[in-house]
Amino acid sequence: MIAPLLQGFLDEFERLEAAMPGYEQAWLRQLRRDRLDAFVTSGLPGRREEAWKYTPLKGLEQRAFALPRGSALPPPLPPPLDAVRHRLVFVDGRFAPESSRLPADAEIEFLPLSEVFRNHDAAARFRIARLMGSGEDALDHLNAALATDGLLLRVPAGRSVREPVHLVYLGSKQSSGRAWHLRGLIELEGGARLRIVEHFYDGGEEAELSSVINEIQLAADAELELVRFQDMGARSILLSRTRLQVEARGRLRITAIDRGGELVRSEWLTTLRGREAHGDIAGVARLRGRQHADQVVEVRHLERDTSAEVRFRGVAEDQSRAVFTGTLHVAPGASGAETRLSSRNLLLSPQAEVDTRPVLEIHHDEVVAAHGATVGQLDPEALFYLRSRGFSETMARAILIGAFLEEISIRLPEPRFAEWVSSRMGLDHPLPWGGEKT
Amino acid sequence: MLEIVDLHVSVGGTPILKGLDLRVPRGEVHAIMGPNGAGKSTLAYVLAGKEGYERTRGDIRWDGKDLLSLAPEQRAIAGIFLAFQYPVEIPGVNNAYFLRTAVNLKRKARGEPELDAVEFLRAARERLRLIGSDDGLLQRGLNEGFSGGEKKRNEILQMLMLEPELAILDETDSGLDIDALRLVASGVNALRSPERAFLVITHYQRLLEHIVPDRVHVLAEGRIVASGGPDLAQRLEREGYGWLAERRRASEALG
Repeated sequence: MIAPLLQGFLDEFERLEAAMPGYEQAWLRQLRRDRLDAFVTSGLPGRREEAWKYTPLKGLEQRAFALPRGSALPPPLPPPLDAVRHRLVFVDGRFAPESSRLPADAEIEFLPLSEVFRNHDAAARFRIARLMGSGEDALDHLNAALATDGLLLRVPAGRSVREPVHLVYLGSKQSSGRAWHLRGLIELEGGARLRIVEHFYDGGEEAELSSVINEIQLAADAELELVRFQDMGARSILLSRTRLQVEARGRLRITAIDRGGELVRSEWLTTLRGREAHGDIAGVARLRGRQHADQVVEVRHLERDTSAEVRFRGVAEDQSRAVFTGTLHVAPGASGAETRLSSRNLLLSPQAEVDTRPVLEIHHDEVVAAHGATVGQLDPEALFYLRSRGFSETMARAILIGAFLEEISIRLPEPRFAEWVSSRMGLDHPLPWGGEKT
Repeated sequence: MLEIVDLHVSVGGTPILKGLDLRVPRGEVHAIMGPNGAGKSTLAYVLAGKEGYERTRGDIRWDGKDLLSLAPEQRAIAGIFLAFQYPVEIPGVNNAYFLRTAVNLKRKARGEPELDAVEFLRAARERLRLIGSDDGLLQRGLNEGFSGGEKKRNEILQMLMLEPELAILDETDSGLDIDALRLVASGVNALRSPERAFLVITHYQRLLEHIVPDRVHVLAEGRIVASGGPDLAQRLEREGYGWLAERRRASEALG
């Protein structure tokens, strides 16, 4: 018998296929069907699959999720998004033009994927066929079969986009048990520069499943700074995967903050393809209640003199669970590669759990590689010191957690956004984010 | 007035203080001297409320209130301040932010208006001058990478800003050169007033040349074994602690 989740998606697909954008394109129709078949055949990964050991999805197969119908009213955007100039908003897996703004002078080419599905020339077809065909596990199949929208973004060669582009992924939570999927492609041509801030929010505590898969390509000398704040409800299930390709001398800087959910998986799969390509990937998991976050970073050094620095900090309270897997892979021939990884964690309750796995796969001798992982508690001496100066225990703990996260949190771009993030994380203490100057 | 009556304290099941009696009225500076391991730091920590220090008998009262029933932060708000012997480093917490928050927590509790950043900086600068430091200390992480002397000065700066009613200085003189010692002492002297009580814990008489105490007590083996005026400190400096032990043995032999 086929599991309820798979059957549910099959039935939904049956009902909604003809309304999917690009249905009239035979090649796309076929691609979607093939990938749905592949998904049903493979099923969701279970505990036995090493990559999903701490976040088995098998249990989800007993639940069913409906695809969104009609267009939902977007939930209100959080205050830091009010004043931003460049904002692309997706609600329940669909581009929401009325909530988005991208002035013509932004010097960015943007199209919603749904539009390109319907109407494309041969070159565009090649691009999106590759995008929809990439990846080969259950998540890639599911997402490719059911994603009906997403973004296609391109920064032309040599352009430097000053204002950050905010990508907002929202779940309307207008009814329980919805599932939405997005797929996207971001291309930085030679020497282009871009800053992206990704937001994952939703409008309530309903159960929801979402998947977001983005491919990001940095051509030679391109620079990307990407900040993510994932702040969804306690019953949200988010499976996100970002594949990054960096060509020669390209520079990548990622700061990913996860607050978790019923089950949140954030994957950053990075390939340093050209000489002297550089990746700096940092993240925070700040979990409370029963939240779960599984952060995955993979860096593949394919060329000489590539370098990477991976730093993640986890804070698990209550009955939450923080999982981190960092894999550094240096290919044969990648001489002069430098690669470093650190995972430091605070385990703040006996019922919380931290699982951290640093993995080094080094296939070349002349490289510098280092990794370290720690799990600890708040320093009781520091707590006492703060309390002896009049700070309540709650305040003292928040301050010490903030201090622990500081080296990552100072990377957050604007004070307003940083303050918002720190308040959402229960730190009631703006310092490590904005750096108060008196 | 601080009143300690028959105080017994154990740490990890080991008795450290064994029947300590002490009274420090407001307006007075009392020095506690004694050999290493006598229980001097234990006394300081018990007063400030550190976990793991178990009172097995006796009482501590501050203005008649039971001090031991208060959490450390409540004691701080009530006016108790401990200058730590080994202040902890907390990287990532800006010193100015920390100190301003601490000052404002106390002001708020007393119904006084909070200091804004400008008022705070003005007040802090005044006090920094007194102890021979500048703003640099404020802009760094809390005690982060501070030298021994800087840490002690930072403790004194906090004391000057928080204006406690009972200040306990735990070996604030250790590791200070003579110039730093003088500046620290001038900080303490600036705060002396009829409303304030000081408990100055030290191993050496040196600090007491600059902070002249009203009373000197000798703490040994968990008890106050001798009390006197400032001249007691001088005798201890000359003769060490040996004569006290001899005197005690003699008095015990007499029954």
